[in-house]
Amino acid sequence: MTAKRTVIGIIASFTPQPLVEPLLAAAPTGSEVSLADFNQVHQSLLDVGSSFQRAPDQLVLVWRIEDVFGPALTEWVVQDSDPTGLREDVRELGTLVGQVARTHGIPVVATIPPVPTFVWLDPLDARSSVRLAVLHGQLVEAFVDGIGPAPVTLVDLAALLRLHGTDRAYDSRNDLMYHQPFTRPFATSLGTVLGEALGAIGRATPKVLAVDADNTLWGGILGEDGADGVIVGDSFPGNAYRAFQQGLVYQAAHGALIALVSKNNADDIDEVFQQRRGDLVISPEHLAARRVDWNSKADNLRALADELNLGVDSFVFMDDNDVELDEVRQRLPGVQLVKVGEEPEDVAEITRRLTQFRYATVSAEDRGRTEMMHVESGRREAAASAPSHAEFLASLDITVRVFAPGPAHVGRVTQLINKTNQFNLTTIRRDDAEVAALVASDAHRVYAAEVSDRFGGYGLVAVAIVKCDAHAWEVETLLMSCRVLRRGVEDAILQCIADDASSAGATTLRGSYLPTAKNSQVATFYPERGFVVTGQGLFEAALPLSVLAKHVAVLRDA
Amino acid sequence: MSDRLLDVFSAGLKLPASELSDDTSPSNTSQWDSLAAMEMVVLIEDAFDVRLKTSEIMKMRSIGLARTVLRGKGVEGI
Repeated sequence: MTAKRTVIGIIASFTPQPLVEPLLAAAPTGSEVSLADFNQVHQSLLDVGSSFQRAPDQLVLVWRIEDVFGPALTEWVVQDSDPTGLREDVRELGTLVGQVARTHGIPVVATIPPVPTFVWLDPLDARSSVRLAVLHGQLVEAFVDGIGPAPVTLVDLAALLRLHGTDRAYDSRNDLMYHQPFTRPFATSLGTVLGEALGAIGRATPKVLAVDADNTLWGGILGEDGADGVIVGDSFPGNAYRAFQQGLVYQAAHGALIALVSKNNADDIDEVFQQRRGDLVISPEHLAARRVDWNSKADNLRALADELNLGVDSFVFMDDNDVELDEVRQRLPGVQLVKVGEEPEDVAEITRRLTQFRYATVSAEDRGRTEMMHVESGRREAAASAPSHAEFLASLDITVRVFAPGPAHVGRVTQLINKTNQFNLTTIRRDDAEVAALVASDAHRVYAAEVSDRFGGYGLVAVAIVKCDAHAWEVETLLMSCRVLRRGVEDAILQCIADDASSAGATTLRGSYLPTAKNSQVATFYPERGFVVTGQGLFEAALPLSVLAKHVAVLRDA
Repeated sequence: MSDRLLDVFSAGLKLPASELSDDTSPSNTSQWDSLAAMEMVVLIEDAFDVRLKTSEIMKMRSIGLARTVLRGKGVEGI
């Protein structure tokens, strides 16, 4: 079987051969190239049928103003002539390109021409370079305007030249001898970009850019640092997150719908948007959708996709957390993932350099969808619980080591006691001396848990303090860092407490919940584990008790 | 030992090195057209770490003359 090969017809105003190899390397496999005669741009466009040895399925036009309109350009430079005629000629070239794409039904990749090299850019001759830049802008505008609505992908050769630098891109020796104006590295880069543009033809562009909040949209953990404490603003390192947000707004202007997907209390996020308005670039109006709750990110992304009536392959998801990214990778393979690094310079650059939305266009439908989303998301309850979150957890190989903290652990235990707001049943704060006394006490037991999974260790992240009476044990403190939420760590520690209580002869385990502004997520912690309500915020369960999930391996110190 | 210059021309002209000699020139080798010349300039510059001027390229009307130009530029071992 011989698959039909895609013929790429190349029309160039200079010798195109050095572009061919890199272009084919970047274009879809099974492509081949057919070249039109060099610098016959108009003739080739007017008569595509007979300009190529093989009829092209796709067309590439690479051109420079000085090659195609040299005499008129010279006249403008030397005699300062009215550029109106030149502008109309360039518009007509654009019209030809649009016509080819429309009438032949051939997708076209066309370059925006670079600023003419007729006058070398001289920093000390600013008037000339500004005059040339203005003309260039007018001609580019005329060209794009002439193309009109047509399946034409524009590749900005002028921008590519700026990226490389004029001195590194041009080779006047090659230009004079071979009509090849570019150095080999630049020609390779140009060919690659053109090939990539060809590859993107017909490919669906992502529509939604879903971003995490903590250590992504801003630095720090909102639940621990508070709205005042998260890092974002004008000075270092908050300016890295401002730059990140600027990049998001830029992507939104280029067709991406921005969605916030965060494990936080919704009210806390609102608090940041209000209190830190001056430090943030992004505002609620930029967000097409929000999913701020304690569901898994994969479930929330799927719910967003359903809501928007899009496939998950329309999503790009940015997060700093390998575990979240991996769950999405496993459960929603179509989602494109972007890991947000820790270094401020990486954070600052990452949204500006996203290439996923480069060919996106903002349609009226998209804009309508953004508005619709604002209304919808205001109404919606939290998404349905995760059907296969358990499967993901099982893949994590979570190990929880539960132990009695010694003097060396008191500092970290105290820190967690005073810092943890969200997963904290009673929010009782204690200082080092109090913790040390409890560790030494016979009437109390202090539990600490270290967690690790196949991505690495999280350190000491959970603490429980239990008052031990003969018949009933009472959990006075139970708290856990946000970093290990929804992994089953809380069940591991509760199971250890229940087992110890049973062994000691107790028959009842008691717990309490003291609501605060931050800890609503644990309001139903005890009822969900079979405890019965015995009073306002008071719960108890008969021993023995079984709450441990299968996916968690528990290590006890002897 | 292989001749490095013949190897470069072999790659540029897409001909076996065994068919090339110092007498090989555009007039007796149809593959040596302007596109191949452009390609060989890049290959020669990369292989011998030199930068060729247009006048030097114009003198390279055969492989032997290319050898002479390169030796004149201080390239050793060819």
